[in-house]
Amino acid sequence: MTGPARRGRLFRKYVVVLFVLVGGVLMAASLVELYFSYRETQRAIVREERAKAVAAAGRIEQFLKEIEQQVRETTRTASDDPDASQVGPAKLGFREGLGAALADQRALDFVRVLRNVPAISELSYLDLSGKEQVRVSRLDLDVVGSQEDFSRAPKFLEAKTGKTHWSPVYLKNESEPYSTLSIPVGKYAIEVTTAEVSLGPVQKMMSQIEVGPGGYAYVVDARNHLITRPDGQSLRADQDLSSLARVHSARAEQPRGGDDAQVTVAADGFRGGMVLSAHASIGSLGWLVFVERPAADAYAPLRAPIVRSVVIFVLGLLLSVLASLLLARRMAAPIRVLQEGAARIGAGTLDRPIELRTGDEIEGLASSFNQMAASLKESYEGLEQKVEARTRELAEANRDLSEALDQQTATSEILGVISQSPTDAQPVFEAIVRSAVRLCGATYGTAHRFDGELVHLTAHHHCTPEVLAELRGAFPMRPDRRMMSGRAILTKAVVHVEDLRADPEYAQQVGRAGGFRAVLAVPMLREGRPIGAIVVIRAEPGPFSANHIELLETFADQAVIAVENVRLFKELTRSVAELRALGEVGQAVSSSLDIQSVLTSIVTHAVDLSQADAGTIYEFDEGAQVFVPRANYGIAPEMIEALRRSHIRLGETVVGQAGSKRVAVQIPDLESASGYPLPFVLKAGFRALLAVPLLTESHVVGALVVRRKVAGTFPQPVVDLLQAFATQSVIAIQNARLFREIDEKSRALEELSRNQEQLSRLSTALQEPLSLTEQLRRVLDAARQVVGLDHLYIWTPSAGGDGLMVSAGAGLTESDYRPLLGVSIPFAEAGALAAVYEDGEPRVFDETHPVPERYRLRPPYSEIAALRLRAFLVSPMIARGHTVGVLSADNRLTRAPIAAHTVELLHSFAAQAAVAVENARLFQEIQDKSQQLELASRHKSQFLANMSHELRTPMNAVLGYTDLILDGIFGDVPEAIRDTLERVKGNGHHLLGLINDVLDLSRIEAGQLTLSLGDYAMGEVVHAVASAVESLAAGKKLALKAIVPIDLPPGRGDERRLTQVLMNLVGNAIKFTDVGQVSIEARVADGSFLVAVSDTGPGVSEADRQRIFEEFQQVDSSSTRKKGGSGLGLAISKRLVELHGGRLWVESTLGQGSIFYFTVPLRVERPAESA
Amino acid sequence: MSKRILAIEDHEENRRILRLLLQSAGFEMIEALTGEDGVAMAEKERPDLILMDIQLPGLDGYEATRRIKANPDLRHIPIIVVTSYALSGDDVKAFEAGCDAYVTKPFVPRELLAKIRGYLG
Repeated sequence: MTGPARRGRLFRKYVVVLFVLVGGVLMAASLVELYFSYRETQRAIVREERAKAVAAAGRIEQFLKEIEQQVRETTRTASDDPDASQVGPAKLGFREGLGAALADQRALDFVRVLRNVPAISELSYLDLSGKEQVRVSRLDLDVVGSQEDFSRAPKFLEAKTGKTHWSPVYLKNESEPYSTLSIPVGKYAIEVTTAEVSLGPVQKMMSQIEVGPGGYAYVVDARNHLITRPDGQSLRADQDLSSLARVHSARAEQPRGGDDAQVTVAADGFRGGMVLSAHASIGSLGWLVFVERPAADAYAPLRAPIVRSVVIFVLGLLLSVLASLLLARRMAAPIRVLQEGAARIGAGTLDRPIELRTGDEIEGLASSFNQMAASLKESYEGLEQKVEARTRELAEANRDLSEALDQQTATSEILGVISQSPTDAQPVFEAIVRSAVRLCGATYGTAHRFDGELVHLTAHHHCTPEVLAELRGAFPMRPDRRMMSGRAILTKAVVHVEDLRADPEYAQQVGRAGGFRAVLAVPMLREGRPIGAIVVIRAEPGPFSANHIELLETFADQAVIAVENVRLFKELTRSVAELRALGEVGQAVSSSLDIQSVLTSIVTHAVDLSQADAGTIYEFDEGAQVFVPRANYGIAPEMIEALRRSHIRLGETVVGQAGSKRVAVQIPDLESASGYPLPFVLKAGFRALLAVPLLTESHVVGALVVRRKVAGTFPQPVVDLLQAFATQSVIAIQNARLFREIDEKSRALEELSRNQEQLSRLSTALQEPLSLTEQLRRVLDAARQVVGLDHLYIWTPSAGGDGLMVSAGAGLTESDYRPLLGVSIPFAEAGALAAVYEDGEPRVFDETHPVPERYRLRPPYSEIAALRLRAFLVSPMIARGHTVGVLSADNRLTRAPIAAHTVELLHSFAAQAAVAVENARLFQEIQDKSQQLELASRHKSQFLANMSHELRTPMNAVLGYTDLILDGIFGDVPEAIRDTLERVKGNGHHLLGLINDVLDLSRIEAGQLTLSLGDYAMGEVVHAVASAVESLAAGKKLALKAIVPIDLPPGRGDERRLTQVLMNLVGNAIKFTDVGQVSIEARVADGSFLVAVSDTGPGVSEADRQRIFEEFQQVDSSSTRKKGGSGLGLAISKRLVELHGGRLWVESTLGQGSIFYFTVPLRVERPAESA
Repeated sequence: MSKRILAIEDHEENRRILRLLLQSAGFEMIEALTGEDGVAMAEKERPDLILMDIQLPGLDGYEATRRIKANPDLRHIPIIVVTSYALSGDDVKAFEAGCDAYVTKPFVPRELLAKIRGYLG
């Protein structure tokens, strides 16, 4: 939006706002007023109408009532006579007479009324039964006593009910509304007077109503039929207005009085259009009077106010427009001023403040703008200053940077030179001096090298010829403070002189030539030692900047690096060459076994790398104790020959000396070495000799010699290098020797190993669980592979043991084998086979050793083709010292002779086969034996089980019955019998004990007893036993003690059996002790329970201590009879303890008592093997 | 009603002793002489407790115990094995067959009674 457009908008905005405001308000006010006026007018009209309607209704009612009255006057009947009320035939005559008189009277009355009341057109009188008696009509003739029957007519019937009745309106002559009035006469016997009434007067009355222009009134009867037309014209037809809504609502509403009229605007006026309608009802008749006016009439009075409103409205609008114009202008002006001011500020004109005096917020805004302009101005100014300062700074920095860049460029240039010329430092120096002079703004520059003694001039720049001449004359020189380079080198520091003329130490003559004034000299330091210097010189006096000094130092460092690089590079090249040579030699040594070429290669490289002219490698011959030349290089054949003939011994010549001293030996100059045993060496032109011995730890193997035509010592690196070659040479020589040996040995080994392989594979095979036949076949197959014989057989004794038969063969065809199947050759007829079998000596038969007569086979065995042999060998199969069969072999097919060593080889195979056979036999034996054992064992257990049962069953009966009797099953038991039975029971238990012991022992013997292992507490076992024997001990008056520590660990074993053991021991103790005490003690010792049962009995003698543990042994057989017992207890106990893996023994002193000990491991997981 | 105990035992004497003992203690005793009879009896009579001998003709005591215990209707009946087979391992075999208690012959009558009462109350 552009400026001007924006400006106008404010103005327009105001105009519109005000316009809308004012106009709107006015409009609203007018409309409201108009509306209410309209309503008011309407109401007024309706009220008016209603009043008129009511008035009209009143008049009509009046009219009708008057007529009623008139008619009623005429009605006086006989019926009013009380007598007449009693209707009866008897009274009729009276009545009739009375009636006739009355009728006349009546007719006269009727005429009178007719005259008085023009509206009535006819009067008639109906009697009780509805028959017309009198009729008087204005239009027609009077009729008396017509007896016309109106009994059914509504006018009669309605009146008969006692009510005055106006009939519904009907039209006479098609347009005149009439209604018939029926008046009941009398109270009890009702007769009726009817009058036909013209409603013309009603019509007239209605037409006289003034309802204003366009208004009208009309009447409808009870049936809503129009009685009077609104336009005053005569009714043409019967119009039913029931359908009109207002008629409806008029009928519907409650009758009420008053002027309060409901405004009804009906849409269907008679003259068309909307009407305002009011009504009044004539209640008694049910007629309605309507007064209506066009609704538009209500608007009439509004016209004026409307006009007024419009005028005001327009005026108001005009006013508003004016006002807004003014206002807008007032508002817009200062805003425009502000706008202009802001634009100015924006354009940059900050000095003209905005002038505005509106005294309100806009003025405030203006002053804010002004402030803003002022501060902007300030900041601009400040900014300018800052920018200037910054620019100055930057320019300076730029200068510095360019300088630094220059230096960096120079430095990198130099570095580039360094990297490009790794082998020569000269270009580096030149580059350095060039750059140094340029960057320091100097006139001349020089670079110097210091080798430790002298300072050399290596590079110069811009030096004039005179200067150069001076310099060349001065250098090389010892470092001297009088020269700047020397001073730098000596002091190892930067030398900075602003004016040489002022320097007292300086050697002025040099500088004068070139006009040297200001000097900067920087030493080149490697690891703190000076190796040179760089000097820059200016023709004007003055200081060099710190930058220059730093730069020169950098250059000096770089020069050092360059020099170092060159040195390293040279060294590297040398090392590489050496390594390569060594590598080549090493490779040659390891890859070639041609000793000659290896040694030649070594000596060639050695000579090369030691910068000698010739060389020789000698091998020391241990036998002759001389050095023999093996490889030469650079020597004429005559000299080689001469060397060979020289017989160099240990200690002679460099070689001999090297060999004897076991170190490198040098002769720097042969000329000065007098009495050298090999004069031809010198004659050949060699001056310097270096010999290095070839040594192993113990021996001298040879020597390596290099010879140089130039005299002088060989530097240490060369000696070291030759040592390396010497080592290689030793290796080469030894390798060659070894190889020779190896080659011989390996051939022999190869053959041996082939045999061994076969044999070992065979052994492995024989260890697999194969059938004997299979094993033997494998042996034979292996043997065949090794020995290469056509056929091989293994013969073993037949099942009957009376002959030999083939149990395996190799190399046999079907036809070979079939005749031999199952054939057993009796020993007597088995010839050589039997002989070998019997004496275990192998036999070979061939052309030179034919088969002796006695070994020749006889029929039928001679028929077997396979056995008809002239050449064969038989080897015994011996295992564990006895022959289990024989192995025979032949070359019947190939007829090749059988080699001698084949017998040997076959022997080992025969041994294998023997082992197989023997193993098979033993295995079978074992199988049989174990089967037998198992059977025996089973029988035994079954026997024991049966015995156990058989023996116990009758015991059960004996003891059972005894117990029953003692328990009183059969009644009381007398004392004597009880005693006896107790004895019986005791003996029975004793017998049972014996049976148990015997069974136990035999089970233990048979290895049938198995421990049922479980966890137990030793303490409980001890206490159980103690309480079991308590009474027994008490009976003998013996003290009984049980000592069990509280913290005994839980044990694992057969509790029942251990209890049995302890019971046995304690029982014995009590049995054999007559006086004193028995004690049981349990404790832990060495991972086992240690239980001791001690008594104060007679003790056990040394001799008896072993015996008592054997079955059926007691100390004293006589005491057995006294003490009882079977003598089995201890034997069983011992076995039981041993099954637990423990021990049972006794310690005793005769006469004092004994202690029986037993140990059982704390935890027994598997019972020990029963003994 | 007195409790009924089935005794499966082939020896006349042993049966007599058991009869005397059980009857004196107020139990009613039913008898079977072989393993098969024992199993059949158990099914027919539904005793309250069974005393089983091991060494029986035909079906042995282990097998009879196993069969009775395998029958869901009879499993609840406590079986006390009473036998003179006293080789170690016999008791294990008996328990493996499913017996509830084990007594060796010769038994102490009072002890057997106590065991029985322990099961029958």
